[in-house]
Amino acid sequence: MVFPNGTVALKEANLEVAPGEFISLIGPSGCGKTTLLRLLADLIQPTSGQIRIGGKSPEEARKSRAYGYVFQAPTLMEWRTVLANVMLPLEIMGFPGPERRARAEKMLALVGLEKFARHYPWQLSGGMQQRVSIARALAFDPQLLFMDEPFGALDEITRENLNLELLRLWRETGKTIVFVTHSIPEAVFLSTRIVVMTPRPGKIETVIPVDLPQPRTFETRETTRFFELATAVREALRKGHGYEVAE
Amino acid sequence: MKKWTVFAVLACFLVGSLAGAQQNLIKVNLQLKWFPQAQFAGFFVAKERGFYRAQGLDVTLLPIGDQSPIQVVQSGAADFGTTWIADLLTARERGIPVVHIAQIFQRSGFTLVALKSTGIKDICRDMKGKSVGVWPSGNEYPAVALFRKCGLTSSLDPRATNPDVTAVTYPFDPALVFPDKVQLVSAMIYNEVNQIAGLGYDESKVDIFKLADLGINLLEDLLFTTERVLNDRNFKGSGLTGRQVAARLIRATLQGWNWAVANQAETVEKYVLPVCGNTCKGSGTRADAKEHQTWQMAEVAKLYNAGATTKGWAGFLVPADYQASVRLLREQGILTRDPPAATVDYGPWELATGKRARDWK
Amino acid sequence: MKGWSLLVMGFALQIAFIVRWWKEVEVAPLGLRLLIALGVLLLGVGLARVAAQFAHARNPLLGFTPAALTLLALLVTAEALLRAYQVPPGLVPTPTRVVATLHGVRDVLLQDAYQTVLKEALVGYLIGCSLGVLTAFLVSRYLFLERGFLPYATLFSSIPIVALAPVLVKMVGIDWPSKAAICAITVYFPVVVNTFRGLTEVSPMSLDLMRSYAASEVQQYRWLRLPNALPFIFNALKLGTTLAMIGAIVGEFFGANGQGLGFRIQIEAGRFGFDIVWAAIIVASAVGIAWYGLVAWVERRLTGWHVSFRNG
Repeated sequence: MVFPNGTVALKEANLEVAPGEFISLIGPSGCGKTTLLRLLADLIQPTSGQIRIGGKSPEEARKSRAYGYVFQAPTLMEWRTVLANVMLPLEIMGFPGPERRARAEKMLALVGLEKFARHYPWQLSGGMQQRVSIARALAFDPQLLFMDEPFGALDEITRENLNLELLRLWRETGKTIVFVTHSIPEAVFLSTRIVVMTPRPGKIETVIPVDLPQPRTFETRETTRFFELATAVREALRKGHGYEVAE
Repeated sequence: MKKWTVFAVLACFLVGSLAGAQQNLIKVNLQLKWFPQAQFAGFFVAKERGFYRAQGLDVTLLPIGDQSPIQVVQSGAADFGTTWIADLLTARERGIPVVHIAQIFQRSGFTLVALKSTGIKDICRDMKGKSVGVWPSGNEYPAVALFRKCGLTSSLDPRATNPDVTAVTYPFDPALVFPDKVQLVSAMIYNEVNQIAGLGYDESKVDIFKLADLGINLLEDLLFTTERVLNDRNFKGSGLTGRQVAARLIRATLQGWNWAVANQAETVEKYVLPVCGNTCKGSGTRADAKEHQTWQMAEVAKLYNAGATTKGWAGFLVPADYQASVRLLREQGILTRDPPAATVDYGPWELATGKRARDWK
Repeated sequence: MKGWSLLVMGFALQIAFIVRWWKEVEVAPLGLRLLIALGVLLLGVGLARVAAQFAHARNPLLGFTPAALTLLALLVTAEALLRAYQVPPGLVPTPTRVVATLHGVRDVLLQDAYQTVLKEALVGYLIGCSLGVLTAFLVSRYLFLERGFLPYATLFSSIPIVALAPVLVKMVGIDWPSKAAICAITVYFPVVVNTFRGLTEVSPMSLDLMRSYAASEVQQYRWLRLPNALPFIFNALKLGTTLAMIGAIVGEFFGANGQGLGFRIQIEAGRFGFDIVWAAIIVASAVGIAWYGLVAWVERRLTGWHVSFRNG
């Protein structure tokens, strides 16, 4: 990936993701992890290289509505109620009225917000808003979920609760998730594999499989294996001198 | 040595008297009713030929702005002004203490003009449902009086719903509304009549109704001031009373008018054309300032040289004419009561001319 | 309760003087004028105390009471002073005279309002607003318009377009369409600029979101840009009601067809009929406030979600 001004954002990024996996991309700021995710989602185009999603190009995948995307901020429409926000993609995609409603209500129940259907986004906390945005991404039932540091702006407690909830969702829906984070514990706790990236130019340093047993709980974070994996990730990051680079 | 001293003393005298003359001139603002044009020829002559200066006055002639002359004089921005009698009397009735001090024009020059093709032959009979063009700010009274006399209501009357005659206001140029928007348009005999002719509607194509002929003989250009000015014991610190200043102003103004009427060509050339800008040319084919103003000067001279003026009483408000104007305005409900006696003050005119009003026969 | 008694005494004093001096034509003697001054003092202190009582009123009607009382006190005091000093009605008419005139000439003023508001201001407003919104859509869509046109629109929206009134009256004529044209132009530019801001000030993430849904451009406008622009549009629509009223009234000053509030104001100001002028101003203000209120009401219905309407 080379930007028009010549900056190389991403260089060596060879990666294959199997269906049902939970992949985390981790690295310091500027390592190209968000860029990689946006390339996968066809929000930007690569200058060279090849990406296939279920055999399709990213553009074809986007146009066939193959993925849901969760942004760093909830990005809810402030003029719509919580329920109407979850229905938004369904309206755009032309789902019939009654089905829209049924699906949206089901998704809200899935994230535990059915009681807030009639509220407006500003009446919800940041964590709740991000749960609405996850419900919205799942509403049209895409097989693939891209998540770009969705919990980065939340406090530690909320974040750990949402991590647990996300894992439950992942188990219940069987989606493939590609998750960008800069938090080592979060990556270790959530993922089946961790892709460690290093900056300037961004490249994949190593891929670390996570063999923590499922289902994971709050106690998982206190196991020795969790610490070993976290240490492995940290050392991989240090090896790429990623820690030196700050923006 | 002696020669030099004499010279120095003389020089001092000269400078001193010049400076003194500058200092002793009394600053007077006079608000004209319209833009500079031959209608005010006498004022321009009095100023430029030094008649005002000879009376110790430094007169500034103000062209019309967005306020009526009465508003300007009432506010104190001008000390004296020219306006029409209906405007003056209605303002007086509403409590504005304005005072008539000299009558410049002895006859009315207000006309209404219609295209012959409109078929308007008798205004009273034919104007129902038609439109008339008027200038606002007190210039609409002659037309209002005429329609009232005819028994027609007009949209100038705030108490008439669905009026018989629609009054259209427009700024200055009759070409804005005539003949497309209005069937009848206000025109001064000395100005707009020629402008309309210049638009291609000369005397063969239009009928000109003189309001005086229709029984609406309301006096026009007159000099007025306020009670405040007249009763001033020391006008702007000059040592003269307001009354004395008014008398001097009248004296020089009449002098200017007499000169202008006697020397019309020179007046237009030297004193009117240099002060009048874009607004003093005619319209269309007659859009030539000199031609239009020469014609206007002749027409205006007829209004000045009439009535009392012909008997050597220029500037005199003939009591019978005044009473006729008051009676007309009262009959048509434009005035609800007779104006107080203080509305007309012959004092300054008497002081200026040495005549006495009660000697008028 | 003490504030109330002061207030009642103040009003009583002023009204007693007005009744006493109703038919007089002389300037009131010093003693009576001092009584008016005392009345003003009582009203002032009384109002201050009463207003303090209402400071925490929840009911909006109750909260409005001090303002209404202040207006009433001002009117009564003005009436008393104008009568005490025998100010000519050709300069400042007394409030009672204005009210009586308002009642007397109400039919003509309603006709005038019909001409000025429904024909000139409203037609111009509707044309200006719809063209403005349409233009903003095009400008937000085509970059060359944003570069080539928007700077002028921004410039024009911050200068008093009403100065064009005499030119337009001369160009379009003295009938109502020239005034509608003035209103349309004065309203147009603020609507363009505000609507454009509303259509374009959307977060890049929202745009990415729409892209991830493979939303078409029409869908992007329908679901994202237009709703986002509504509060901006309504700001311009509310401002537009005021601009349109000003445009219509001022436009009539430069030529009118025998009707209209501006025509009436101009004619009557020229002949010192200030009671009618004030009556016309009252009608214009009432209509202007009602119109603004109507647009604000629609705004509340359509954009009740907006941050400016949140309370807790």
